[in-house]
Amino acid sequence: MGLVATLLPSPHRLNRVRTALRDHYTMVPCNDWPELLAACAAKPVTIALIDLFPASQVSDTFDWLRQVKRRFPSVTVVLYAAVPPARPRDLFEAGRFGVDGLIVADQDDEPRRLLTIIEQAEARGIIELLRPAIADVKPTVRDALLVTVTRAHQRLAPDMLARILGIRRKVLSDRLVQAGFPTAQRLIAWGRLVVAAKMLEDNERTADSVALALDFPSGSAFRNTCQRYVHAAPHQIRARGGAAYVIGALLRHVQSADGRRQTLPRVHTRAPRLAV
Amino acid sequence: MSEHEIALAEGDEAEQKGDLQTASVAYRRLSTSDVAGPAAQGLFRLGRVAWRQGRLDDALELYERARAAAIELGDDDLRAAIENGVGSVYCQRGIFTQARSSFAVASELAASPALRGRIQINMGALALLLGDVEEARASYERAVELLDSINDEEGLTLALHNLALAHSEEQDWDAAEASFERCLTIAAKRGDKSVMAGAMLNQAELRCEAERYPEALERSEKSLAIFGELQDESGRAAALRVQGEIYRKMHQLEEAEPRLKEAIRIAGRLQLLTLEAEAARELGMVKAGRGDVASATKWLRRALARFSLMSADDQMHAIEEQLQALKPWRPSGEQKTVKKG
Repeated sequence: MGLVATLLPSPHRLNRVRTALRDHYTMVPCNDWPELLAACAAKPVTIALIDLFPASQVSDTFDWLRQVKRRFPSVTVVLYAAVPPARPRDLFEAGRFGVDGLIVADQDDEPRRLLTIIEQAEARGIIELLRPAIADVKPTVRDALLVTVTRAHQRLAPDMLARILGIRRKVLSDRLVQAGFPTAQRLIAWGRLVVAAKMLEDNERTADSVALALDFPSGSAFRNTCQRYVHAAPHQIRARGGAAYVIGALLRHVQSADGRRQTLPRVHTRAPRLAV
Repeated sequence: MSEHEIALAEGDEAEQKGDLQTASVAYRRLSTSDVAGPAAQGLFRLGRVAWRQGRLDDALELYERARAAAIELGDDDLRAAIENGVGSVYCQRGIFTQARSSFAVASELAASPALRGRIQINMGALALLLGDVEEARASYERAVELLDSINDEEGLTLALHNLALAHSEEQDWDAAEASFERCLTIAAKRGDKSVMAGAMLNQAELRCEAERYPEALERSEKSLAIFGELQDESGRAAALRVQGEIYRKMHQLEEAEPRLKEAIRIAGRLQLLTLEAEAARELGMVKAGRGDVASATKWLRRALARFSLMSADDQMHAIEEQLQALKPWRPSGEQKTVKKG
């Protein structure tokens, strides 16, 4: 359940979003742009859902949009606009600012459709990075990892993780062990680290602000976790590619536990062929 | 011809043509036979089809069942073929210790030269994946000798293809070229287009390495055409990536860019991480060549993220250096000072 920060002056649209995202995402409603920026800075917001035409001028809107994209490039931005007042030119302009998704009022805001757009926009981010890397993993284990990532901002416990997956904790533990994955407790920590690393990709975020946003007891507790799991400090994680680096470290850990040896996968045309 | 022999022949012919659906039907017929021998053969071949389709769990399960039947029958050659199949699944999954022990068992049990040749090919592949090129080459040479002696052209194309790869890794370009040429001749005779396209693309890379760009381009064009004919998107993407590199090295950056973008698009869609990373890096270099630092940084960062995901340390360091080189030079007095405390 990722965090969605909204900037939607219309109560009607806000309610539509609330209905669509219920049970799937946690909403952080914001009243203006500074509040939205503050929410992105303080919380592990994954998606910003904004109305292109709040009270201010359109040109102001684009200035704010530019700020969000510059300061928090890891945040997926989805527009919720009515056409009119938005003109095709405005939407084109928004696309140039790197907006990831578009919901047209009264066309795309039926709950199921709205949820799909949000999920698709989110999938372009961290989950997109994670999925191919764990394509070969058994479904329960894959879902467990995805849940730890999408709910990184919640204080998940192994029991809760098992409950979300609809299995008993013992079954979850067995399946994780069989797949060579860490225990549920440690997997939750890995999920939090993946999200933390994604946040660290934003140059403006400090390690302390990430620690605070993800509810680590302190900045040093966060740094210690980074060292313990990834053997790197937050600034090193950022320099080595952020979330991708942490996911790589997790997979390396899994493969060594599984008796696998990590070799760089070859482009298939350069791979030796097997004969059966 | 008995009913079993007909099913076996039908299945083998379809499998060789790449029609795995028809092959499955024939092998399934065989596997449900009341006679133990043909049923075990059917199970083994169904496992092989599952492996070709990338259904690795199914392949392992079918091999398990075939193995139990082969042990009961005391059919060592079939058991060896099954162990060779199991080893290939583990090899593909990167579980190399288990792959090695399966190939060792297969090697002990195998009697026929065709099977012994195939096991040598797989042992070579394992060695190559683990970075032991010398051992890989020796295995492939043994395989070529064995398969040559019985004129097994199917096995021989694979052995020659892999031998050429081993020679390339050893930077023995002439030997690699010779092996690819022989592989191509046999593959063309057999009409094995997939092997032909792969071999030609590898030749293109070799020629690019040797700075023989027009020849490299010609080979990659042919390979691209065949992959297109086979509707092999991943092959097309690999060929486009190689073309992008050739054009970049020929300083024809405007030709390189669209090819690399297309390669990245396909690789992203098919989740071919290594290919996506290599193409993104290449595109980063093209952008840098055009003086577009922002785009170069963007693509190199994308390549870095993909290589990072695979923990490919060498590639990561190389890209980090390229990124560093993109930073504008400043006189030492203008460097940002580090705050103390």
